[in-house]
Amino acid sequence: MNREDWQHIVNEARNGNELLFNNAVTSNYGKHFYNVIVDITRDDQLTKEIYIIAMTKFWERFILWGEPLPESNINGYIYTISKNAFFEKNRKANTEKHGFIKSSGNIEILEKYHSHVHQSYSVDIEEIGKDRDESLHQLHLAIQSLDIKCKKIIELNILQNITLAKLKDELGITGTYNAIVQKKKRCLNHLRRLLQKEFQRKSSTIEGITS
Amino acid sequence: MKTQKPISQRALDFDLNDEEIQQIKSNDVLAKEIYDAYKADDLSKELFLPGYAKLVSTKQHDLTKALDTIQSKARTATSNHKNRRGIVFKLLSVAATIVVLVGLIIQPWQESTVELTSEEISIELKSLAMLSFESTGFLDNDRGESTTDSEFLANYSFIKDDNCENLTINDRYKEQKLLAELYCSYQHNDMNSVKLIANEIINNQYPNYGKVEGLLNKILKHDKSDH
Repeated sequence: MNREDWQHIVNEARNGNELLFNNAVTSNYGKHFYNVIVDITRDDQLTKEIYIIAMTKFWERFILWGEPLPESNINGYIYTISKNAFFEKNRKANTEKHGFIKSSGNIEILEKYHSHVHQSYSVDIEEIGKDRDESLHQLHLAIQSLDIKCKKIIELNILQNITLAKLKDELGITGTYNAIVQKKKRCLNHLRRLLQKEFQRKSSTIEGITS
Repeated sequence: MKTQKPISQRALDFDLNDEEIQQIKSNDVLAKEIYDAYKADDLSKELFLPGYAKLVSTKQHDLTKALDTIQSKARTATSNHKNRRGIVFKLLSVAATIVVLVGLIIQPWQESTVELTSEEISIELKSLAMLSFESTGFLDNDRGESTTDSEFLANYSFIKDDNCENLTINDRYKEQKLLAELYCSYQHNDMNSVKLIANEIINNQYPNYGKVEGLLNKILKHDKSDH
């Protein structure tokens, strides 16, 4: 399959028809990928698992998030993703085994965050302070560092279920409806960077104390 | 040429080269940075797009299932091929006419191994309906706000709980409405509605129409064999 074929499949899937993508995933496995991935994994079952993880990442990036496809050699690129998937699977297993930090799962952290939200939709800082979950504090700090529009999107769209269409004017966002969707995406990316910094800051503090 | 994204971002994208992978393996500080990046990514996505992790794992599960089905079909075909060859060799020594008879006998069995049962069709239809609800509104520009619609979420719960009686989906969510009603009609064995709804999805080429078409063919086969 060449790039044009992949582009067509990805376009169809972005428009809601994922059948072509699913078929490409299943038909390419034996034809193109099994032999090269089994060289890395040395195990039949694991080869299939790694391939599926890789193709799910492909779907997430190029279909769900709409990133542009690489310019050439898509099959070679899928091989790279597969190698990364194998590395990530091992890394995850080692992380769980040795455990960098023991903390709650994401859903639990978010449930706690939601439970600290007042009727007025502001967060109860004192209550968060009493909570012993470090990740919850870090999430709160990161959210506080976001710009006012991102905070409003979290407060109104995520916590109060007000639609983005209704929020667009209130937030003073001009342009099409897509403008506020893009703004929400940027807020997500900004929060991710802030959170990562918070997690790293915490790690260096721990290292500072222990060294 | 590689993009200028930081290494932690490229790790999230599964876009590291061999050298970088080795670098992370041998560098604890870098490994921790990657760990933090993953954690931050998961938490942010789940906050902004509730249910994101489930959506991705559902897709992974669907792809696994699709690949398993294809492999199982291929194995069945290989095994049938071997069986047939063995039978033919044995029977050739008896009489060529019996070979024809054996061929006729095993044909329906061969077909039945790749057919879906009613229960499996029902599961497929439910998965389609649920995925349609789950994937709506995450990143889509036109329907970007729909996951926050309480009526929409209530209907999603009804489908999850097999509560077809309470289903009342607004025409605004046409794709979800049709897929949910298709599933519920099949549950209630209302074949006329199943055909009508499936054809509406197929004729309008709504998302997953190809899959619906495949399932409708299987349903029609079942329907015929039942009568």
